[in-house]
Formats: sequence, structure tokens, C-alpha cells
Amino acid sequence: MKAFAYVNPANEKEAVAALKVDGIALPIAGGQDLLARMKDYIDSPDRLVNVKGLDATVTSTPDGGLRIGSAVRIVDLAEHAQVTRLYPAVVRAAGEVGTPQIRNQGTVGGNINQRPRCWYFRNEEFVCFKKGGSRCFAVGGENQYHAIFGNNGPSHIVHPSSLAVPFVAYGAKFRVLGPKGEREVAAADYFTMPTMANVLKENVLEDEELLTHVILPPPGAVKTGTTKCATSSRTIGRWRSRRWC
Amino acid sequence: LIGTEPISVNGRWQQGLSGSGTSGVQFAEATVDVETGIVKVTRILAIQDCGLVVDKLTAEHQALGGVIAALNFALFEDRLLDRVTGQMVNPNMEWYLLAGMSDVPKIDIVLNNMPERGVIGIGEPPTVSTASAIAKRRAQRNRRDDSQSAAAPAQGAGGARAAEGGRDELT
Repeated sequence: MKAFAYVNPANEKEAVAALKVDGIALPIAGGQDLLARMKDYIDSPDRLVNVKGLDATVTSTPDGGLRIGSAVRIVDLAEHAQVTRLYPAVVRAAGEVGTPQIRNQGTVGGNINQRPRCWYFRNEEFVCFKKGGSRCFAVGGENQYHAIFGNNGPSHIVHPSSLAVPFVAYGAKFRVLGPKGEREVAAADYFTMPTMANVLKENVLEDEELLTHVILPPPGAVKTGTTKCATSSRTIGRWRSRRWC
Repeated sequence: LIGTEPISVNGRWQQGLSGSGTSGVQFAEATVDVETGIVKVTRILAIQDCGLVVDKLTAEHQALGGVIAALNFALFEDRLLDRVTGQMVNPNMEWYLLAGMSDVPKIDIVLNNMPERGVIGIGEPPTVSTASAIAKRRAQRNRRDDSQSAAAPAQGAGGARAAEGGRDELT
């Protein structure tokens, strides 16, 4: 792993300011994805900005919805009384993330922003589109766990976030904070399909922006979301079936 | 207990004490989800012809380890090579699957103590034939699916050795 600087901001404004650096700065919360990527030399940031200390609460909004801090741990989301009562699909998705250890450590923001689980992307020897290369190795390669529906390339990834599915279905909004201030993005618009222009990313988050909150509307306003769910259908059936009991 | 005291023993190889021709019988019981194809082994019975059992605990655990290793290569382990570059695409514990705690079935080990046969190996029979018993169980299930609509789980005794009516002799 390449050496990096570690910044411990006191609040979200400082965190966003710390993301501006000559080089690569990445936020770190639970680190369940990022640390593995760093060990595998998929990412070699110059600076890590600790966002574990940012808002890790679930609070009610005036209209009867919930506002979930990005730093809320997945285990806390899965066991939260109000979430359980109002948004059962969120609880179910949260309970499906990884393993108990990963749920204890991983956060809501980290789950939403994790990178693809594609085995070519995760192997430093394969320089694919997502790492600035000029091809997707899944084409003509071992692609049994790659995208089947709605992804015409160039990069045939499946989005790995379990929480993205209920957040999109419930019509959640994501609060994003950047140097120019904050903005709210509908969850359905946050995730992007790969195109040549944005193949290096899976969402609309800019380099110096931070996903700070997930804002769920009151559950009464929910329609069933099926078509949008396809954007983040799970990758690894066998992986899940193995760890489930 | 000997503790830290050194022990010194002189002996000679004796005719008949080490044997060969180990064998065993394996039974596997599995459920198959006919929609997803996911196989869950629910029970394994491993009967092991051991010759002289020198250490019962170690022998039983050798058989247990063999059964779990067989479960792994029957259902989970798969070394996937990229067809273009030849690189292994799953060289890690995320993608190269091994059984987790919840995948390990109830395992019964029966050691057949036969001192007159001498000390013989128990490495292969629990390992090699358990995998084929699981595969056979799955194949039986799949055949039944072809011939009739299958809603019931694939329960019941079955196994490669038993179904074939013979012992697998390994030396």
C-alpha cells in the first residue's frame, strides 16, 4: 500500500475542504471497500479524509420521513426502530450486506459509494475502462457475474450497493456537500450508467463532493419501484448464498 | 504427560503392523432449490475402515476434515481462468469459494476399528468419495426434476457408494 496522509476533520465543511488536495483525496468511513482497494493497488490516494465522525444519526424530518447520516453503520440502520417500522425494505437490504463483521464496520455512505465488484476491476493487472484503460475485459472474458440488463457498456459492471435498491424504490434524495455548497440529488439520478464520458465513476458525485445524508420521504408517498431497481441488482448470488444461513 | 522430559524408544518395523487397502462408505443427504440450483448438503455419514485406530480423536477429525474438503470441491471451489489472458480471475477469498460455517452439514463419522488389519491410511476415502456422493445426490435430484414436477425437497438417504452397491477400494 502506498503511504498516505490522514486527515481528521471536525465537521462536514472541514471534510469537504480536506478533499481538495494536490493529488488524490478520498473519504474513508468504515473502509470495508476502500482499504481492500488500496491493498490491491486499485486506488492509491495521497490523502484519506476520515468521515466516520460526521453525522451518524437517524432523525425524523418535518414531513414524516427520515434523514439518515452517511456515517450511520449498516448494523445500526438494520436495527433502527423507526426504519424498521417505516421502511422494511431498507432493513431487509441492510441485513443482506456482506457479513456481520462488514455490517458492524460499514456505513450507509460507504455502501452507496462502493466501487464495482468486477473481478477484472479488482485485479491491478487488468487495466480496464474503469482504470483508464481502453477495454472491458468482461467482453469475451469470464462474465458470468456481469451485467445482463440495461447496461450496454462500455463497462459491463453491476452496481454492488444493496441499499441503493430500496433507496431508489422509496424515492430517497441524497444530500451532497461540495465546495460550492450543498445540493440534493434524487437517488434514481445519483447512480449513472457507464458511458465513455463517465466510465470512471458510478454516480454523479464530483471529486471534492461528499455524500452526507440520505433523506427518505414519508413512506406513504412510496410507489413500488421495480424498473429502477435494475440499476443496482446484486452481483454475486453465490457469494450471498454461501454466507447466508 | 511426558512434559519436557525427553523420550527415547528403539523399535523395528514389524510385519503386519502397517497395512494397505483402506476403504470407506459415504452417504450424502442434500436439498436442492429447483429454482436457483443451490445445493445444500444437510447430512453426511462417513463410515471409515481404519484398521487399528491409534488415536480416535485424531482419526475422527481427519475424517471430518476430509468430508469438509470434499464438500468444498464438490460445491464451492472453482479456479476460474480468464479465457483470453490465462490469468486467474478469482485468486482471493471473496471469489474463490469455500464452505462457511453455515454450509457445513451434520457429519457423522463411524470408525470401523479392525486392529487385525494394522495401521492403514484414512486420508482419501472421506475426501474422494464424499464429493462423488454429493454429486450423485444432486444428479438424482436433477433426474427426478426432469421426469416429474418437483416441489418437495430432495431428502432421504443416498450416496455414491451405497447406490452402486460396492466399496471404493483405495490403496
